[in-house]
Amino acid sequence: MTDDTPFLEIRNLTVEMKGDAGMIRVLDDVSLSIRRGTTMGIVGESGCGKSMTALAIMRLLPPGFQITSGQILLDGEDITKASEARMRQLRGNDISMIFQEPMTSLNPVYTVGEQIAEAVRQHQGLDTAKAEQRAIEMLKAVQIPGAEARLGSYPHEFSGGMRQRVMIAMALACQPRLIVADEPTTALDVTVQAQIFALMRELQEETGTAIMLITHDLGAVAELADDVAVFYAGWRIEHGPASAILRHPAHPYTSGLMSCTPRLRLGAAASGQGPALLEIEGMVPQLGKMPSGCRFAPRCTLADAHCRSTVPVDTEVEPGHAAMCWKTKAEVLA
Amino acid sequence: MSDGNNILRVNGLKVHFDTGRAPGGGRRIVHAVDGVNFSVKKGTCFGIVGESGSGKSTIAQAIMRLVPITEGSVFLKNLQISGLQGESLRDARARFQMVFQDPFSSLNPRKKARAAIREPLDLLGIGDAKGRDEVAEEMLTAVGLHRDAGRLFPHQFSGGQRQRLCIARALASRPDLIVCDEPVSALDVAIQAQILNLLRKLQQDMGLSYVFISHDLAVVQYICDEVGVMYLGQFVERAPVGKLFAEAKHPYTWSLMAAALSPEAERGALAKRPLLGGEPPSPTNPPKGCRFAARCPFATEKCKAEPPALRDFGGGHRVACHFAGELEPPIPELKSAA
Amino acid sequence: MNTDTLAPDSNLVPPPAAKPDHPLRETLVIFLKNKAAAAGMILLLIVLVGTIFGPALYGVDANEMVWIPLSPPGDGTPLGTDYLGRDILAGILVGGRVTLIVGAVSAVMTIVIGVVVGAFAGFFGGRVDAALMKFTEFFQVLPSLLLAMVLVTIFAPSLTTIIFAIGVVGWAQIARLTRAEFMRIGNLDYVKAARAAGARDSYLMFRVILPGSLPPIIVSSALVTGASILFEAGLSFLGLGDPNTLSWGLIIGQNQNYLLDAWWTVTCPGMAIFVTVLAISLIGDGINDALNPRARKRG
Repeated sequence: MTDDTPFLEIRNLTVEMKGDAGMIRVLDDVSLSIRRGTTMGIVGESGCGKSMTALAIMRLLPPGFQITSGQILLDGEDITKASEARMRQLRGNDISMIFQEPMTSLNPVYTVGEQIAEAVRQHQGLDTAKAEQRAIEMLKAVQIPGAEARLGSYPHEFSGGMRQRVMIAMALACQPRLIVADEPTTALDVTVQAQIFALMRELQEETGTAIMLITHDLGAVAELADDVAVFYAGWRIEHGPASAILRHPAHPYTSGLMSCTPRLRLGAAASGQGPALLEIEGMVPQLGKMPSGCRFAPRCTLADAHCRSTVPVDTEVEPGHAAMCWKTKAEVLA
Repeated sequence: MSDGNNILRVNGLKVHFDTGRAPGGGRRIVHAVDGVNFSVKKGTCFGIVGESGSGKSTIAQAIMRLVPITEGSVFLKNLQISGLQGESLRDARARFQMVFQDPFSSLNPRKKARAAIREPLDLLGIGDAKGRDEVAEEMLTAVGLHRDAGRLFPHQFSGGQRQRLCIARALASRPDLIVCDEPVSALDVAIQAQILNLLRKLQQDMGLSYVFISHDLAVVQYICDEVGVMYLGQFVERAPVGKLFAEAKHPYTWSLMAAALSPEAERGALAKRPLLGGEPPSPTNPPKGCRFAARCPFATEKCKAEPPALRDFGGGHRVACHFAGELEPPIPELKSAA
Repeated sequence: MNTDTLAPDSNLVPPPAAKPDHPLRETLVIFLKNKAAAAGMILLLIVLVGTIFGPALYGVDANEMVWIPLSPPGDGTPLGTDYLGRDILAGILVGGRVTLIVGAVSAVMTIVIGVVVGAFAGFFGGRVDAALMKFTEFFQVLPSLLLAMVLVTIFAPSLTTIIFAIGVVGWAQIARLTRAEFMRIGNLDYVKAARAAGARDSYLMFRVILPGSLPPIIVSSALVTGASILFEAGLSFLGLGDPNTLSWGLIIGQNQNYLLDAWWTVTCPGMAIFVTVLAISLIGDGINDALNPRARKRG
């Protein structure tokens, strides 16, 4: 179901926020593209602009935030210029979003059946009976046992994992061509997370939908993503195929994240003390207080005077895999 | 009974919550913790892993005497902290402290950092005012913050820095034991590594003992010396860390291991693993037999009828499964070790 | 960025000029920038200055017959006279003192009862909560004006009785609010942390939880003060005011029969009540907006 034409293409997107002293950039000249039927993992620490990218695509930026330049092309249509009416049509129909906390994103006063059916009715114009039928199909698709019976249940009657399944069912009900999943399993247990991931993969294979997976977990990226974009302080600092980036990261920040992640050592590997976890010292710079030059330089062990003074450019290390770093060729790959 | 080396001993701990009338008469009782035994040796870290609702956080709060203990005892060295009340409990609090999961809700937004760290000393009347400020500054440096940071308010710190403050506060009264309830779960990976390494370093420098609660096996493996795996209020397996990860014998432990993600794994690797279906049953009405039987791929009639005891497999390795040792682990790494 | 060598693995280097930025600072700044709240402050200030210094400056005895009864404003007196020929402006200036005192004192009483009941209910929960909330509900379902009328009638209408009556009937909603805040904050980890650090119940209630729950209580205090002033006026209007102390409500109550012939006797003290309550509401709204800046931006 995959093909190489990008379904979503973000070109030089810049998002700014009104601050006390003028505009503050939260996303700075970000470009990325997602091919049909594939999953793009967006990785980075909190405050790096991952969620802002998602909200910009949905055109649901919080008050005070605005897209100041760049394009978001959804199947060739620039949605930064779309009217609010057009956006309502797109949201739900073509793009849907799965949030981190399923409890707060479901309306507690309607049954889940009503909520799914309502979404279908609004976006697909089905009548009530057909919409309900569709809701049952969707609950079955996300493997909720006793789907017919659970149609009349309220969100609070579901466990966290089941609620996230309901969210996925709602997101899929209108057969969107792009799903934006913002940390969809962060609030869930590992065994439930594994079930949800397996479900997402299965549904993607059936429907050919493109997925943008926002996560802080490199393990989740390895499991689901075809491509990865790594974000740092509003920049997209590395992008490329997931396998390439996870095997040999080209940006010191990405390799830093890799060495910060504790690994499970099982069987023979479990004996003795494991390797010490490396740290990335310091923290993401605050919005509006970005260092000049490379924004990662203050935390980077490889940084020199040139890094601190000059903004790095994208350097391609292999076709389709590039990092925004002055040191990429010289040090990381060596 | 008393082992001089043990900082903490927990015997037959039960914590039940009464959550009101059950439909059809009787009370609705949540068996959050239902008979748990373990001890923590001086200078070591005891890890408790489990999923949400397993009761692991309730154990932390019971040790801290923040929830009422229904049954069982908790000893800190020779002091039975489960029996203390009122002022004697307050006096003992200097000796056991806690680090919470959410660094945003665990600091009073109206208290400056120094006051937050001093709080245990102020409340327990330890030292004089000048001495307390000195301790606060010392603790700030010990957790890697600037000594002048004490005059800032919590909202001026990042999440990782706040968690450092919480650790400094827990250290201030020089406790024997620190209970860490998911101390890194709310943090980004890079910050998580900093905090884990800090906890390790403090343990070495100060000879601290921890009870470390987490849902993340890899984190537990990194920091703990001994681990208990919890399911629905009970330990299903308990072993020294090396043994547990090399020779896990309980099907639930296997399923946790199978569900763990790794950056090195192949795409779609989970599909090839033995994944658990369903979700834990309600702790209000725990099943009669083995509590894991409903989700266990190996369960038999015996499992559904009879609760398994925590059996000893040597070297401190205990497993609560009727068929422990007889089952073939479905995880390739474990097979090669066995 | 990392310039300090004192703490090599530190990621916190406070900038040298960093002020200990109190969390309420931003709130204060937003409040001071709020035009409606500023207008409220100015109005309230005018009312306060008028009632404190007005009687002395104006110099007319509010209880003396000074002019022809029921003469209109401008015809000998600035705001006209009442049915006994007393100067309305003098009455407003003198009566304001009583009205404001009754409003303020009964608001304080309302808040103290409400906060104490709510704090105990929310902090201890369980049976204490159930008992206190039953008690609160009892006061909430009684029609407050009727209850106050009964109380004032039983104990004779004096200033103290009126204050007591208003305090007794109004505290229930404050108690509910305080209880909800105590339950919410009581579940936060920093309260558990304080308990784990050896805090006694009284410390937790009044030093840890109460300061955190003050913002909404302060907001509703402003509303309660406004409501108390209205309540006093209502009681006086119904003839249940203290007949010996002049208040705005009393002027309206005594002149109500002449409303159609001499509108100024009722309208002028009515405007005084309106302006005062409006000023207090504007200030309350301003505090509310300042404490919830996000809600304000959306609205």
